Amino acid sequence: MNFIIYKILFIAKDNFTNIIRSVVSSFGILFLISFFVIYISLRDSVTSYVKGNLFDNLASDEIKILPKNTKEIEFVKRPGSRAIPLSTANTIRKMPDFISVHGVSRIGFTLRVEGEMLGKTKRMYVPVCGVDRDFLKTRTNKWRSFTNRRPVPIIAPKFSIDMLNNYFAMDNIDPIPESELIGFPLTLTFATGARNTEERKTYDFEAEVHSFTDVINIPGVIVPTDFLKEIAQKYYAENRKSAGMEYAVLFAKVKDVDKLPQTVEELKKLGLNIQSQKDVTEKTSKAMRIIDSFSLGVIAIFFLLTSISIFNSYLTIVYIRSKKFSLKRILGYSKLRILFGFIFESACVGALYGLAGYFTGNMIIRYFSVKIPQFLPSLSSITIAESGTDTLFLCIVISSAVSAVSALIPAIFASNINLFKAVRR
Amino acid sequence: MLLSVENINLKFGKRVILNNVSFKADSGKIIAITGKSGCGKTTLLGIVSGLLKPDSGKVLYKNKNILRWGDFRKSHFRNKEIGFVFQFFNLMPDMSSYQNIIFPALLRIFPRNVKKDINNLVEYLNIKDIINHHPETLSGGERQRVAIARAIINKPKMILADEPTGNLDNTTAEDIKNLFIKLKKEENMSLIIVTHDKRLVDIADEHLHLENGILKKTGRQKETKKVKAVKTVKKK
Repeated sequence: MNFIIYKILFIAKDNFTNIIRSVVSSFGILFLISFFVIYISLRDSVTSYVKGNLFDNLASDEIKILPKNTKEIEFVKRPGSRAIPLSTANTIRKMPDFISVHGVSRIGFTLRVEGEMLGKTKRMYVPVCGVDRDFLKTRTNKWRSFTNRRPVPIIAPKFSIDMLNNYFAMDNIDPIPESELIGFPLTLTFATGARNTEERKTYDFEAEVHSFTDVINIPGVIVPTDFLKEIAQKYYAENRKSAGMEYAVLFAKVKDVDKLPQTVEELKKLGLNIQSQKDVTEKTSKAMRIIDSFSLGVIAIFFLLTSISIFNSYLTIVYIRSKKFSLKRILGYSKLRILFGFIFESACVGALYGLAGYFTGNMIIRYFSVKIPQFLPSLSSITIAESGTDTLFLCIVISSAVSAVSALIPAIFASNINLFKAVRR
Repeated sequence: MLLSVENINLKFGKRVILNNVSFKADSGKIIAITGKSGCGKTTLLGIVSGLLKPDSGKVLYKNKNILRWGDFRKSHFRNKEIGFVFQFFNLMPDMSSYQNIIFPALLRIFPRNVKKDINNLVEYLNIKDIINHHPETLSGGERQRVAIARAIINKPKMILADEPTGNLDNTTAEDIKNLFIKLKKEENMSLIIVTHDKRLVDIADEHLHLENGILKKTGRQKETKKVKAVKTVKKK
């Protein structure tokens, strides 16, 4: 038994020594795997960015209706912003082709949110959008209580928790967890017209925090659409003027998917821009195809260069160790044992580089996730996350396979070496 | 008969290396093969051990043609039945003498415990003091002793030696010669020695000369009785 353990240790030591000696041979894999990790990470980041910016995924029977000549949803009303008027939205709702139509509405007023805690009052202007309760059905668990009531329920983006706690920290107040902020009382002040003009009117409402979300990607607070409608009607009743209530986007679920092309044509006649899952998928696929083809091109070049370099390195190793291989063959090693030994060795070296490449790739990602927004602010909304353990496993497998396959031909040379020539050298 | 080589033919291109070569080797016999450099002596050893394949002919080991065996069986045969001794020793430079000696025993899937055998061999070959040394620190004679220990650790029936004294001084060569005699007499091993060394030819039971691919008997039969075992090599 002891002797078998001695044998195992002996072989392990011999293999370990060989692996250490041939470590440099597969150095090229480091670049291959690092780039692969960066590619995977970038791909995931871009995919989640695209999905996030498409306001959640569309189902196959769902279409996104945007104002004419508009490609992206404009949640904040700016001068010249295009929108879907309420009348058009009503026309669409009445169309028999749809099961449901929900929208994201906005109003031409500014909104100031005011909150008080421990005697300190904070006020800030924020964009506001209205959504229908039913729109939240598939997006949040607390959708039932999101109705036009008093206090007005508002949904805030998740990042506002950090903002709030930062304010509190300035006043030496301990951070407050999300759960304790639910139901937090606020005052909403809608203001019309420019400051210090006769048109300036304000409307105050008691409100409370309904929930926080990072699923619905709106850069402001969300209130029920009916609430915005109520303000618009009140404003109209008092001033006989439109409050500028409109829809930034509508999401409609069709009854019959087969009739979708005709429905889309009808909507286009109303001067609207329609996106279906097919369009979104095509656009996303096109973007991903560009990323994929570029990255795979680079990976292919790395792969080729790495394979050639490993192949050459292992040929040199075979030449250097030809005497040892021959001796082993003479002393009783079979060809297969030499072949597998050599491939095992190269696979181990590859695995080491897979590990190193994974960490190098993640290090580069960590560095660039900080630097990219500094150099390219337009990409600041893309969050580049480090690759997970599943990628680590993939890296090790790919790296080992590349190394082993590249070393296969040298391994065959090693197992077929001219024995007596080699030992006489 | 332990080994019977029958009608071996081998050509490299148009050059005839071995032409209808036949010989026999039995246990407890030494066969010396001489010939000019490059005449095919080492190639013949390669064929005998199953490492090289001839164009035609048979190599019968205990009446079984090893040339028909697969690589795995041939490897096992080399490991178990044959011991190799080379002119340039061919020890693994990154292993100690002990590890070099034990190496062939470790090649088996379930190795037998040879630690006791190594201790005996160390005494037998007088290499106790150098057992933990690496080959580069050893003299030629010491290296060859370690190489012989490695060759016989698995208790083979046959030793194939390729110019075993070719790189040694006279005294050391004399020691190795006496060691071969001892192996023959005490272990009943068959030794096939490719050599230019007259001393080794003199101890051979049969002397074969290879010339132009043809192996000829010299007709001289050595009287093994006349060979004296050297006192310096003590038997365990």
